[in-house]
Amino acid sequence: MVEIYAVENLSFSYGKNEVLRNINAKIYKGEFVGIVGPNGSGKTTFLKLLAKILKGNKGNIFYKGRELKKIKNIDYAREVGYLPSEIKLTFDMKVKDFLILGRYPFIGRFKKEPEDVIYRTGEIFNIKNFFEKKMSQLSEGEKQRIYIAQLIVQNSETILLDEPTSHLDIGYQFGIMDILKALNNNGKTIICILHDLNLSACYCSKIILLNKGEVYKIGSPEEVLTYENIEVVYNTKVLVYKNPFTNKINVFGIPSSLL
Amino acid sequence: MKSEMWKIVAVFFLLIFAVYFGIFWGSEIYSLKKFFNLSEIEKTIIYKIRIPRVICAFIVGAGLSISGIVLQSVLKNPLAESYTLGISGGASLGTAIALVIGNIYLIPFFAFIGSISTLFLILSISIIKRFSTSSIILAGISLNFIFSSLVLFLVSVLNYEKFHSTVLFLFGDLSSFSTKILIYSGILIFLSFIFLSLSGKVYDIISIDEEKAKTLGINVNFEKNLTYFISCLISSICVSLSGIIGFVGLIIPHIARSIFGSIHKKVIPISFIIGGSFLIICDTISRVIIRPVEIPIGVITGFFGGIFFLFLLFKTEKIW
Repeated sequence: MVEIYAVENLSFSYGKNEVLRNINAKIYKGEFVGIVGPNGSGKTTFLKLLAKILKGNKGNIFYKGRELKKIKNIDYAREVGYLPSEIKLTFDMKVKDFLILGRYPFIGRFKKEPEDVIYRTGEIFNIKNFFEKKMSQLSEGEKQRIYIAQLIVQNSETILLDEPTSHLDIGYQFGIMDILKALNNNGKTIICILHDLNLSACYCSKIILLNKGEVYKIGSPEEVLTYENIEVVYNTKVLVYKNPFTNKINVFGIPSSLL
Repeated sequence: MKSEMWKIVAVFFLLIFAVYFGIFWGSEIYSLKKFFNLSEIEKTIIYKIRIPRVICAFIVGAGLSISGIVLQSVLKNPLAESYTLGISGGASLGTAIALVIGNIYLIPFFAFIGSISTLFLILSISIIKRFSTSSIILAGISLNFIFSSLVLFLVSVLNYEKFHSTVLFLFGDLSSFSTKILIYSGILIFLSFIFLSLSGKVYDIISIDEEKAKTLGINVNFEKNLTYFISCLISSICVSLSGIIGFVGLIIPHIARSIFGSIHKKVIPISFIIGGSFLIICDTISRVIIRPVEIPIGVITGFFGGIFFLFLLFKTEKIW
């Protein structure tokens, strides 16, 4: 197994406020990793450190055996793509103009990229009929598909996503996760923050459960998403059961007011 | 694709019309036929007065437009430009101080210091106070008023004869620029224009999302500082040529985006031409509207710009 990330004793603070403490984790090529945990557990900070957006951490992150700090941003951008939890376009643009910006790490400031590079991705993602549309004309789910397509235009081997399904209805949630699963089957390493434990149980091969800035548990969905772990970390009662159709774990919340 | 060609052709026609209008119209109106047998005085008027003035108007209009676009992109604020951020006001205070010291060659330098310190003042306030995009603009316009008052105060105390011309300067005035700095100004603005147009992709990406830009390999802090530097340079050149002309950097990019989309490698050159032509036309209107008396160009741009700004405020309210 090829090691993609090795995180060693990673800590991070915003000023005096320590948000991550002593994180240790390994991520291998081809894994589909879900980062889960309650609000404020440090998920986004962890992902941004992996994406090389935040700096100033204690401890080390290694990417393919090299210290992350020592890799140039532009070289890193040729292998690792990142999707923030929310993109707010200041100015509207056409879908194809948006997609082609994913080529920036390869062509830089002055060169021009021929448009045909985006057509293959357009076919795979079935979005060619959107190319001439404006981004503002798309629904949230369609936009999310374009954002992920841009990561593929960027040719990212490793894809980091911050809650890619948060604004979507259940149909689109599965749609987006299916796309990520298909990319994963083609060899991409996927690392994404998920709010929905059931989605993470359905799709992920490895789950990192964060609690108050520390790794509470790391492992397969069956190992991590036990009712004992969830009840401690999320401070609520749950029933964990196998979904008879998918044979994957399902977490049923039990509100205390109804007990 | 074809319709885009026609739009570009139309923009060039606008430029040709503006240049024609600027050269042949004024306190005296010449016909095209007349152009080929001019008297000596008329030649002087055209070659020594009108053509430099058309060039100056073009440089200022084009410069203000492109500095507006890139500021809007890096600040993710469609209302940003050198006037609404107070940069022009800062440059005018710098200019006034240089004039008080009495060295004309210091003007561009002091104007630049004034503009860039204003920009950093306003950005630091907005970061510390977590200002919304519209609060930044309010602060910028307030700063403009403070600086204008300071300039008038300085002039009243030290050199009252210049009070009238200073008022004109603060309102934007193309009648008294120095032809000595025209050529250097033109070259600097043209070089900035080339650089910014070629960097279009960077502005596209930064205006999408800063974190996204970082993970696409862009050094966001460097690009932002470079943009601040270049746009302050352009604004201070424009102020030292023509005083404070507001809203051009707001109107022109907005029009260009609504016609050509917001891909910067297109919008920057298009705005450069439309902005230059627009200011030539405004300047000519200011010369002919109550002929032979000339009114400051700021009266024309301020009137249309103010209305346009209000319109934009009402329209963008929905977005934020």
